[in-house]
Amino acid sequence: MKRINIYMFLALVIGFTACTSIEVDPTLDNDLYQPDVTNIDDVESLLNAAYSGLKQEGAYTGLLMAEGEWPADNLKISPDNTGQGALDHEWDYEESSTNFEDIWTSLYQVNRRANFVIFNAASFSAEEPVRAAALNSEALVVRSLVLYELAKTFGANYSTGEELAVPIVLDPNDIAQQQPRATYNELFTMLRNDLATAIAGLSNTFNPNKASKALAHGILARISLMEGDWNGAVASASSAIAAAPDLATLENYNMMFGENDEDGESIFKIALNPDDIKLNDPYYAEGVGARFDPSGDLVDLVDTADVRYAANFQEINEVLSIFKYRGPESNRGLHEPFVMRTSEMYLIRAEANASLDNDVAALADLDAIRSNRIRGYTSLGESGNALDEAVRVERRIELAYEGFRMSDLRRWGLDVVRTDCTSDECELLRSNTKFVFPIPRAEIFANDNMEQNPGY
Amino acid sequence: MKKLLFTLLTVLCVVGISTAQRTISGNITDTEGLALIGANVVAQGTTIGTITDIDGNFKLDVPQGTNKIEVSYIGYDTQVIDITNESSVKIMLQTGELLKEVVVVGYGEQNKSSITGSVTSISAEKLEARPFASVDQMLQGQAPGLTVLSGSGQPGSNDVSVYLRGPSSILGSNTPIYILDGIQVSSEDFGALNSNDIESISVLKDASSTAIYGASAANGVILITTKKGADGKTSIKYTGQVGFTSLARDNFEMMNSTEKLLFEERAGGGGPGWNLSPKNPANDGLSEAQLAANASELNRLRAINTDWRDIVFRTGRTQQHNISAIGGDDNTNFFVSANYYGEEGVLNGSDFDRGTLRTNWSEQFTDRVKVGIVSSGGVAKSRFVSSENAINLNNPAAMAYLANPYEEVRDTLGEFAFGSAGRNPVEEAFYNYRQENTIKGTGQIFAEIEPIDHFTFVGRYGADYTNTNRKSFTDPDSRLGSTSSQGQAGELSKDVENTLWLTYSNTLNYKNVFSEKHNVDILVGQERRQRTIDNYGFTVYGLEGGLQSPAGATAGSADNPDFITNPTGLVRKKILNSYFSRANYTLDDKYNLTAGFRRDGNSVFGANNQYGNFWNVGASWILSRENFLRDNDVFNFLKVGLSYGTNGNSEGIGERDAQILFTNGDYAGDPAAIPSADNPGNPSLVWEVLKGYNATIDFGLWNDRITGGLAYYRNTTEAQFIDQNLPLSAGVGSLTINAGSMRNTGYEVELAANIVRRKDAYITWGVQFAYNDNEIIDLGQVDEFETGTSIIREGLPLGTHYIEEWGGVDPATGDGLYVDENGNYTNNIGAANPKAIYGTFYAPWTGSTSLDIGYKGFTLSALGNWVYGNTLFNNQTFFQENANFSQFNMSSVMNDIWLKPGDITDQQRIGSPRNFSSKDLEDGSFFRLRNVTIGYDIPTDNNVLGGFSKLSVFVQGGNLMTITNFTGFDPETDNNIATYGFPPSRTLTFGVNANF
Repeated sequence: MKRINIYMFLALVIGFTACTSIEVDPTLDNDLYQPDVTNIDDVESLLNAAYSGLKQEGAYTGLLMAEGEWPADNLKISPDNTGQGALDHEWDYEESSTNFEDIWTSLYQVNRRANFVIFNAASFSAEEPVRAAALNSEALVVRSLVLYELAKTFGANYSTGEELAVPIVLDPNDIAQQQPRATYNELFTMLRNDLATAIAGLSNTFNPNKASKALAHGILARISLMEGDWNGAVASASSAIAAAPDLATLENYNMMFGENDEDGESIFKIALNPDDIKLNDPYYAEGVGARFDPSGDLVDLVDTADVRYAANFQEINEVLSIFKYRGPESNRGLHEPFVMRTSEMYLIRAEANASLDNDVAALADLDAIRSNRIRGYTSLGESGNALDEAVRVERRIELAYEGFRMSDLRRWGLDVVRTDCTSDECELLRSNTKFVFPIPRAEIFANDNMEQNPGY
Repeated sequence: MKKLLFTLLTVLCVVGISTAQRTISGNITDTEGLALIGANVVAQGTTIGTITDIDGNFKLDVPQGTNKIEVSYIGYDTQVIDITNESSVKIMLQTGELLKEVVVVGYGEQNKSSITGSVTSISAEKLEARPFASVDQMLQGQAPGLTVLSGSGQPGSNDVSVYLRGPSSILGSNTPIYILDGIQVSSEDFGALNSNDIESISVLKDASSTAIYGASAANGVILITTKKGADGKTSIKYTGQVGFTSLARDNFEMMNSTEKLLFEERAGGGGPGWNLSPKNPANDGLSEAQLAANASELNRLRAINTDWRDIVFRTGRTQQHNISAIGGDDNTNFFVSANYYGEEGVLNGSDFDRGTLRTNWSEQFTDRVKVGIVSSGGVAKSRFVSSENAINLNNPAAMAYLANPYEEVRDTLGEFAFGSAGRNPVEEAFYNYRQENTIKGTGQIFAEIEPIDHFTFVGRYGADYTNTNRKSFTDPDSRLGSTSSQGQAGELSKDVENTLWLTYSNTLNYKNVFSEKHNVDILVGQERRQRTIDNYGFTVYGLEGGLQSPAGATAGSADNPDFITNPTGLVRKKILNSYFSRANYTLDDKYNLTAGFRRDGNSVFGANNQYGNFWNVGASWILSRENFLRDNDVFNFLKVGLSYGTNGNSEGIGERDAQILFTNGDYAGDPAAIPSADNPGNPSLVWEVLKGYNATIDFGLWNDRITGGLAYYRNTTEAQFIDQNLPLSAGVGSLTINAGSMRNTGYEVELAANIVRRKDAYITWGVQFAYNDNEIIDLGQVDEFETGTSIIREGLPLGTHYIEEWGGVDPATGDGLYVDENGNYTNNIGAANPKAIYGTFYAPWTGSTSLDIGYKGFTLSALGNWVYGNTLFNNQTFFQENANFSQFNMSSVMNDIWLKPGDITDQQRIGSPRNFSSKDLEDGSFFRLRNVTIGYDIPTDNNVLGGFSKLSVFVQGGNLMTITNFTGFDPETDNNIATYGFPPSRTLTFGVNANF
């Protein structure tokens, strides 16, 4: 009896103490995995991740566009507004505002994803030189795009180029690096180099959903415009126009917006899935009502014969509403965001030529746009100061609600003046520190080398 | 000689056989020799008994074959006396539950007197028949140092925050681990556990008592033991109760229609009060008739005063039925039970039903082998309110306050009306629902084998399985359904989660006594636990034809891209393996030494860092057994104890946190490898370590008229899990690391006074309180980091608020003012820096008080608990006292908003920015009368009710009263920035208890 007990006990102990392993099969989890870059297709997946990062709300599906329009003068608060954008519209933002943190975080995440591509593409340049160079170039373009947007949004007021822009971050693996803000000159020198490399390495096939030579030239044009390098702006804009689709015409302009969401004259347009974020959400809350209505200041500038009137405005429940990016009836708000269009290149070239006093060239570009927008248009033949003003007005109408207004007012040194105003705050002087957006508090906190913009 | 013997035997046998019963006599006193009058003496296993007379003497005729008598008296321990060879006995009954009380500790039981650490026991009576769905809610106020905060009143919710001796981890979990019958369970499982099945709960608080549980027991251990069988006739017990639930606290005085319409006119932002106002410049060009029409519409609206609270809240019903049977004989023990619990929540559309079954059985096969099973199964169903805690009007708890009083549920045509925000909670509850069904089964087989004398091997092998099935249906005809993200025709989502815990535990225990004074108890063991979670689900769109199932959805395709289904799923697995040992030496029942060592491994850590080593020592001394105190008049029990130990914590680290991971995405139909951005994984993560000292004094005074204990502790947690804030520009933002340390120092006091202690009457008053001082000692490379409105800073406690100081409203301009660090007032919040002077969210003082009274058959017991010294955010005021949200209803304090220079008020003028500031911080202290129960034992010694061995009725109230200065939603919250959660409910139930 005793012996049986001892054997039973030993058997149990041995049998069960054998289960002491704590190894978990790493392939078990099926939503996360460890990366393994073994071939060039893996590098392409990393590049797709960078593009996918542009779909975040802090990037091109909402906030970047919203913060270019809410604080400006193309819209006014609607009575149905339930709070979104109200504080930004009245310049009540602070270092702790989450909208700016979302923009900063999203764009720098895309920067890191692009860095992963650049980091990994190098190891395949021997075995597949053409494809590796193409992927590397696309990543350089994407990185340049987001760094430009960051500088435009968070950089100090541009004057000589020695002012502080945003930090340059190149290593995707050092997640604790505390980079200081580079100056505009340092940043733009790097971007020009990168874009030149990219232009050499990109293939000539044009895909509006991916980086292309047209996009690279377009970014160079935007940089030149910001620097006041008018000749450079004219050259880059011309190169962009040559590589880009043709200017949209009277017939096909509205196919780009509303129901149809066609590519049209897009130089770069981000591909979305049906369940991605509603692009027009900053302006109109589906199922609830308008957050913001078009401001009479803008509406009065647009001729009702202009195709852009219907693209931008529409009456909903007898009130004029912002219609841009409203999308198809079956899925309101689903609209792929335009990052850059051919029209913008014409406008940059016109503005640069006007600043160089090349009035004839500037007027030609302006007329090219206007004749493709207004039925039965004949040239108004402006020159001198009237031409400068016409360029600004045309840019305001063409790019309305696409996120350009605030930085345009900044570049032109103008105040925000709302004559058709429904809130308490109707004017923001150009000298006001609120013209420059705050660097997020979380960055200031974690990065000892970071310097905040004045006034925050 | 043989003949004589034979005759003698025959005579004796005859005498023996012919005697049907015999008489036992005796005398019963207490330990001082004083006679105990009216003590019960019962022949065990029968109903034959008597009571002692005025001298403590008794005489009892017991039937032949009865070997034992049971002697009992209120306030004294029952004794079972062997009378096989006796017919006259002298019995001394002992008081002092502390001496005899046996407590469940890690892997076994110990006499409470020999414990060197801090353990609080909660007995079954405190947990039975309580109208709460979940056991952890019943722990409030039951053990000093244990803080339990119920975050949601939703029945069946497991949103309960539990921590012991202060928060011990900044980022990791603060929750103690729960062990149910030797197997670890998670608190989410309590929704399916029948609290009437519980025999006792032990709360192990200090490192030396939790050490045997190691592996993540740094936050303390709560041991739950369910009822087991007992020798004796089978007895059946039934408890039933029914009752009502209603809102525990009414908050927030909101404006009525007239006040709100006037406010809209002042705010000038929208709403009918402004749109129809003659002061609105948009109405300047209107004709007389139009102005009159506007005015009469405003009058009509003023007369409507919809009581949204009434529409959204209700009085719910609750009921519970429990039946259990307990019994056994010398070899077999069993306990079986069945239970049904149902509760309707105070918000319309929420309820909870649960049924459970339990079988606990054990069999002593031979005198050395005992085998048993512990098993239970339960099914729980609940319906939930949507959007709990959201600031939108889909959340009925928010709607009750924020909906405008001039809006109505239905319009004049009888259709649902949607008001300014486009929501209607009655319509929402009418069309849409969210359900959760849980099936749970636990099973454990154990064997206790004594292969040779003094050695016992115990093996426990158990499984704990939970299947949770969630369904959320949004009707295409509802308002929410028409705005569905894909297809705008409703959606249906289902989600299934299976969680399986497997535990293997083997221990070998050596117990022996040498020379009658050296008591040795050594335990070694190994335990392996693994948890696998398998979760999958989908969402479908385009519901048609009224089918509330996936069959009614529209399939997604290239032509119908809007209806593409969204699947989700993941599998998570973690394994823990531990080796542990504990040695206990007691000398003379007076001096006790204990020591232990353990080694724990957890698969969540990187391959080189999985194991940690921990150890503990402790000693205690029972002074009251020493000669110099043995006959002391005051102290009948006095014990001091001291312990030190280390323990590890790995809770709060996800299964993949130690790895650098990517996830799948897509762009334009091509695969994308997306690097994890929130917290990319750290292979260097290791165990958090808690090092704690613990000193205790336990005493009994004046023959246990007053009993109590004091404990002092000092716990330091090192290698804390911290989310290191990384610069967002580096692309990630945060990384979990081990850095820094935190200390919790405090004391706990527990006192019970037996004010009256007689046979037919008793009054016992209990007081418990605890003070905890938490300090962050070190944070690694940084001195502080901010997390929203609180700051984690060296030298300050965890949960310290960090916010700008409010300076009142400037009477001249109506601006809101803030105070900067130099004491200057400014109306620009950007110019004032946040301050950390507003105290902490974790309360330093907690306590409870209880009162138990019995007289003849009546009993009254009451328990109240309190929390003191913390500060909470009143997040609701940011929305209710804020002119920017004038589309919602406003608090009535906004009637006094600043209008013209010279107005003195606390509400700044319309147009002055309304920011978060110290204006929204309030004292969070509260006292809550948690439970009052009044019962009556109906006498059963008569012909009508003789079948019952006990019959009682009771009335019980829960959360009856709350005393607090906090004006927010509820001061008992585990979320500092809680908004419009499901409010806690007050209950009133009536019940009956019957034992057969």
